Amino acid sequence: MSGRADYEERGQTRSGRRFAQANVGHYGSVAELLRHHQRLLELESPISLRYFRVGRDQGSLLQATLRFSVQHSNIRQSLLVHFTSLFREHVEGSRTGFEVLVTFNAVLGTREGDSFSVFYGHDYRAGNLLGASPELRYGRPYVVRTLADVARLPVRFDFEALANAHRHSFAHSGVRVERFLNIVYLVYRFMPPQRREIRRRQLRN
Amino acid sequence: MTDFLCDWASARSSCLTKALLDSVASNGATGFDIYYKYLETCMLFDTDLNFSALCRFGLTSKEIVSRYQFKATSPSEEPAHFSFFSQHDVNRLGSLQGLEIVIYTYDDCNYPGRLPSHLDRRFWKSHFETKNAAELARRRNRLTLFHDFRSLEVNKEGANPRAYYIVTCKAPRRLYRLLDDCDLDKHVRPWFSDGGRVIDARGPSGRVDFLSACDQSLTSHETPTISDVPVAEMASASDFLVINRPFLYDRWSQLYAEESKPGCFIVVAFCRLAGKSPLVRMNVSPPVANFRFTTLAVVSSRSGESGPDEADFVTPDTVVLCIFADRFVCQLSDAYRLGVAASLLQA
Repeated sequence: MSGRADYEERGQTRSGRRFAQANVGHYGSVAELLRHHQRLLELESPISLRYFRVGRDQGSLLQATLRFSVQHSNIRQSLLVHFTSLFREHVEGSRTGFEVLVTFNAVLGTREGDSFSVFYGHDYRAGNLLGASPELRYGRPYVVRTLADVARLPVRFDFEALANAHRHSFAHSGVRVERFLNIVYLVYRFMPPQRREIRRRQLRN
Repeated sequence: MTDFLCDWASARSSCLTKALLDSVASNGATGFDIYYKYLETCMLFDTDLNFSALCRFGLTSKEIVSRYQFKATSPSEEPAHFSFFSQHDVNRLGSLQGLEIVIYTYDDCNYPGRLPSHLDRRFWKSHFETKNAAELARRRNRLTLFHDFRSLEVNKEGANPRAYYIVTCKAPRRLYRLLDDCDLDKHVRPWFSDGGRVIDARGPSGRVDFLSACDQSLTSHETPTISDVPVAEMASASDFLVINRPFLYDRWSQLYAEESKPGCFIVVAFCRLAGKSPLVRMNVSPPVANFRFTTLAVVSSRSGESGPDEADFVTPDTVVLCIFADRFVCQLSDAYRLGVAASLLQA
């Protein structure tokens, strides 16, 4: 079934009728869009943590998402607080740390200015191993091995230049970046299986 | 007053982990309640869900956790997914309960007579007030920090209340919770110190200034003289994370007592003795790998957001300053200094 047909079916099924009201993808104006996405306007959102199991007994992947409004005045200090708790609660040993990707949430609009939607920088599409959408990813992945490395994470952005740099990203869809809403830091850490699990696996084999 | 929590060998005993869980419980809750609350943060199912489809006895999730994860029927057995010996777990437990957990070890291996069941302020006062200098040094050598993340509290204004514990090394190990602040920090022996001066960052007025303490530990003079503009007082170790490092490098290069100036200075905080082995025998220095230091800053002449990687400045002769027990500063001894430099170079 094509994506278009899938979208049209929404509202026909029982669950679709319920969710269709909330899942409005497009808005006639930016103001209307922002009215429905109040949480994206919060200066800072609570840290969100996810664990993914990698393969069979191969360890796990920790993913933390830190989201800040572009209006936030002291992102560096907030990052320090979050990374301190991440280091306290997730890092054992001094030789490892976190990999950080920077991406954005943005409002996209048609060239005619009659339709607007939110584009999320956090991307779960199959085949995208990095987790950040390639359209709005910022720079290279950063490695935070110690707390001192948090000082090297980018916190100030020239959004006008960014919008200019990403103007071709959505060219095939006929939309462009209207404004940036959030700066999103995706924090990853691979946690290998514990020694006990490795031993158990060796015995099993 | 001090609370005696557990004796691993006696019949009424529980393991260290369960004793720790019991000790943080309040308002009529039990150690199991805390453990369940701890696991709940990563459970995806409803508390009252009946697992009859998974378990032929039709147990609820709480019963399953109690029987198979917490192992309530065998008090001396460690629960699953939580351990006294894991720094993560202890820190997560602390943040769950709004506590800052600090654990000391006390080496009672050659101690004549076991520690009494009540270790109050008077006990420690008399313990460390002996007039025999050799005996005092021996007693101080027995006490060391095991788990201390106070230096990694970023927001000092909203700091959590402290929970102090002492664990003994001789089997059967005992765990005590100190219900008042006995200020044992000033008696702990820093294994990792170079044997030189240990500077107390807390001044006579009670105010803590880590920058002055670092200045003093780098110079051979009692009171360092600095001819530049004054800088803001640094009341917490985490202030080093945001300081202007090139400026600090100039300041410390002036003060450093040696002829040759190092490429950079590293500031670390002691956090943890790793694993169970340090608890077994404390009268030998634990190996470098068993220490957990957190790097707070690599202070070099050129560092910043767009500058070169700070690890580029690290060399084997780098000076490493260590903050421990939330108020003391010392230089690391050679073995630990090289260990810290190597970990930054290998990373």
